[in-house]
Amino acid sequence: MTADVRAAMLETLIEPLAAVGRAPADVPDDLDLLAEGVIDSFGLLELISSLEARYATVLDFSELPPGELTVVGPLTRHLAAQIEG
Amino acid sequence: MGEVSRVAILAGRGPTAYAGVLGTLMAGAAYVPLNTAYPADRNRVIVERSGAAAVIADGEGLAQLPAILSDTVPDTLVVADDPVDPPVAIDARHPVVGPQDGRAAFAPRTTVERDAPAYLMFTSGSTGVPKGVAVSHANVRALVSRLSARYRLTSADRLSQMFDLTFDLSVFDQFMTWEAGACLVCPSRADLVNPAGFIREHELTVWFSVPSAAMFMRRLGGLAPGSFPSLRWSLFCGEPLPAELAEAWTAAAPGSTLENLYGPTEVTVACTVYRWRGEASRRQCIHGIVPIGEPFPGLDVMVADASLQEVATGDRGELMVSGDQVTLGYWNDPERTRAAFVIPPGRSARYYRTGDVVTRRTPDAPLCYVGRMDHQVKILGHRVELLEIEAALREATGRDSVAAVAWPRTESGAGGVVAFVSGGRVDAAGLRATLALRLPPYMVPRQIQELPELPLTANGKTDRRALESLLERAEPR
Repeated sequence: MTADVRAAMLETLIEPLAAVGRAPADVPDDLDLLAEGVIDSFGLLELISSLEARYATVLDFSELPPGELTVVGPLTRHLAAQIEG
Repeated sequence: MGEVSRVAILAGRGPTAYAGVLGTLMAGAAYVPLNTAYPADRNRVIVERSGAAAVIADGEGLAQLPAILSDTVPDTLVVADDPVDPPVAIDARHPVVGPQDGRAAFAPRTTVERDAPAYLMFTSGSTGVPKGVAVSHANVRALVSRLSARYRLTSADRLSQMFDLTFDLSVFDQFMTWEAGACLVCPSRADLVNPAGFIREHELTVWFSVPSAAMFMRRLGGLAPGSFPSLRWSLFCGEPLPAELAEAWTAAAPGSTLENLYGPTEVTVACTVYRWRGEASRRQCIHGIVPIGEPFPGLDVMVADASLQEVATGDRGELMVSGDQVTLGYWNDPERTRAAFVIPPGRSARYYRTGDVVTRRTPDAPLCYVGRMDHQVKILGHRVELLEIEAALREATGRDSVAAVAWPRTESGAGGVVAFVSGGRVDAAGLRATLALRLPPYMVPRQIQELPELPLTANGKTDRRALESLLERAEPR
């Protein structure tokens, strides 16, 4: 599931990833999407909405430490756990 | 160099920007905010239209200036907070100096004209180019005096700064802080995705933001009851405030008083206010939106029909505002100024026509915002003319049949823009990239859809309602 969610998440970010010279295939787990300029706060909301629509669920972020909210690995694992939940 | 009347500021929220604002005002000039998140073309248009003779820049701003100060921009002095030593000119017409030399160029004045512009705030313009609202020293003084009396801030207060300088709500945070000798706390980029943690970590006492910021916090689970014990004022402005959000916020900040402020840039940040009082307030909401309340003391409002006559009590009409916060008008645009700043029949005062539709107050009911008269929308609190986006779309595609709608809808406005183009295939990614060279990020359409033809209303105008229905039907259920 984690790999699925990771792929789905990066697919929705193809355009902003390309804008900073990256492709989904070369995104490491420790990439901070915010620090890299891939997303801003609104981009984060868009990402959440698109994953919620795809998996027909409502995601809760209250348990995820704020510092990990925009880091690919922890974010993906949190999302996968919620979706499987 | 000669006298400088307007100074552009290209710096993020921080010491360079604020020293730039204060230094500019003390030299008797007006500041003109630019934005490092804007495309170079938009910043250049603002420099050109304002006639700024100097730019104050931080490191990030300085790196962007060669793209902004092209050959078309007249001689401009660049004051950098940290230039290389010796400073390298951008070109022959755009020398760069450090803060010491900059100080020599802007000698402080002992008196400043009340009606001289304090800042020019450029907002989205329906004709396709941004328009500059000229706000005088007297306007800002009037705002700060009123709100200082209302909020009684002290040197112990800690205020948020959730806005870039290009958003006029930043004026509140800066000048209220300086007036009280309080502390202005600027969020880092990381704080912007964790504003709830930002409030707690810095023990803010005054929160001032657009409702979209609070909705973002709620979406990430950040509005648990009792989350913000340090806050004593919770102030929202810039877009409609949903009642449900006001309730959630009040529970999160139980020790604070929540107020909903309203005001266009043309009336200096804010001109009406409504205090949230729980259940009693809920009964005064229209469509679940918190009222905008009453005008500040000393300002007058009227709710007018198309002939600028006041509508009957309780009826709907255009909100018009007069008083000492009504600004000078649009910079170098007398025609548009005359159209928007008017003296209604039978009155002697000058009123600003807001274009906002409200219900006229009754003894029991405050002013309530119900919508717009034109195609202006709020995207995450930013004021956007859809016609400006359409003008950019037309220019980029060479086609006439284009439309922009605010989408997706949120409780308080919209989260972005979706564009429609007819007349054959378009390279959506390429078109978005072209638009991003001209428009601020929040105005660049997040999606561009092709349609065989655009739906029209009975009188031949683009039917935006029909386009919104198309988007609604396409949403996943």
